Amino acid sequence: MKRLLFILALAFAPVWQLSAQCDSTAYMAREFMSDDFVPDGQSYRALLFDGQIAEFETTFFANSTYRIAAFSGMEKEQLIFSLYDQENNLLFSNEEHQNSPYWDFEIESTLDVRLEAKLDKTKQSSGCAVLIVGFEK
Amino acid sequence: MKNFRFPLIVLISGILLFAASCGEKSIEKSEQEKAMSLDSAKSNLVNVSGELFSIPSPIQTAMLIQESGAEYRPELLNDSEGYSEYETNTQKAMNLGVYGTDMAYSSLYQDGQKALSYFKAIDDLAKDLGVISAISPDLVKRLGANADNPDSLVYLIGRFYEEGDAYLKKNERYDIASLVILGGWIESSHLSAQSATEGNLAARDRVAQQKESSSTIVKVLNKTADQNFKKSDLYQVLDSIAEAYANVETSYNFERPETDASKKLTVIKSKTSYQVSDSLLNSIAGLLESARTKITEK
Repeated sequence: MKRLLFILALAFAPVWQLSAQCDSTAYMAREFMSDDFVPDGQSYRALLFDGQIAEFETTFFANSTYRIAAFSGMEKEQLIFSLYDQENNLLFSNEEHQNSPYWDFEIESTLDVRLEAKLDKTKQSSGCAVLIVGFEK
Repeated sequence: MKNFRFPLIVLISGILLFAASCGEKSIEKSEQEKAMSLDSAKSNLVNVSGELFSIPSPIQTAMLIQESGAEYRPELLNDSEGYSEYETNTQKAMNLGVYGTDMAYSSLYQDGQKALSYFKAIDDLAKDLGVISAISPDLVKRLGANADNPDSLVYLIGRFYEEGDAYLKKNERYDIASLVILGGWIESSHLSAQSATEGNLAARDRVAQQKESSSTIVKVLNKTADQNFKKSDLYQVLDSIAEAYANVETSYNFERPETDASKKLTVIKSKTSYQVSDSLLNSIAGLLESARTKITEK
């Protein structure tokens, strides 16, 4: 029975470890969301493995500035995030900016967007990805 | 021990397969949604926090109403005294969302006393739902202490609800998390619709711009809510709201964004226009009021 428990603990260790890592990752992501930006009140987290993509859709309102903070694991610049419009046009990717852990978006006219996030496979093969969306006060 | 190995391997394999299939509490997309959003390059798509959704902040809508010059309408807000009469977790969760919007709204109009009364309701409902333990005591204390300081309060409410949402999703309480968001969305949409029907153009635009959110909220509840909720009158009204919103006409013109890397800033220049007739606006406002009444009634 002890052996069974030991094997189960070994088998689950990576999943538990990644899940626990999410809180620490969220804490680090929040460092990039200054007090000038109000969090949208929702938590966007995902355990990502090779090649997996997390995504969600939202609406960005006109005459607002949004900040997206993106973090994975315990080191910055490991998460690639991209913003697309409703016609699938790429509006921005932090991949073109050394995987910057945050970016601001000034919105001239309300639009529906899709946010995608994936691990930079050259830096991390699995980990917890955390995204925070805030709007400027 | 040899006889024990095979079932042990099967057990572990089963558990690992189950864990892998769940990801972090991921919820499968419907076939139709997959067809809409997946291409071959995205075959390993997973959902964020088990949910594939985001609803714009109700606080942002409360701020828009206040900044548009609309008069303060405290009579439109939920009664902050009667929260103890909400008995079910569904009622408590939805009204936790409602009260967050009401606290932000009243504080933005410098009604610190009313905002403070909403803090008490939020604190107690969050305790009842087991959420408060996940939120840092310092944040809770600061939220109560800044009821008459809207500049700080809107930030603190955003943090409060974000931490609560993270806790609920981490513990796979997606139904409760969705209902909190529903309550906040309905309350802020109701406030903006009331202002819009009185001629506030900024509020009218904001009502129309919630088209995407109206269908998102129904999709999310369809995945997360229990059968009782799906049979409720409220769920039918939410469905009707999404149907009404389908008649809001939109057109979109892509324009290339401009990025200033030194400021870590991208200006999104694309344009969307929304057309909503008076009769459709009144219809949406009526449905929002109906949903809001069903959420807040004791």
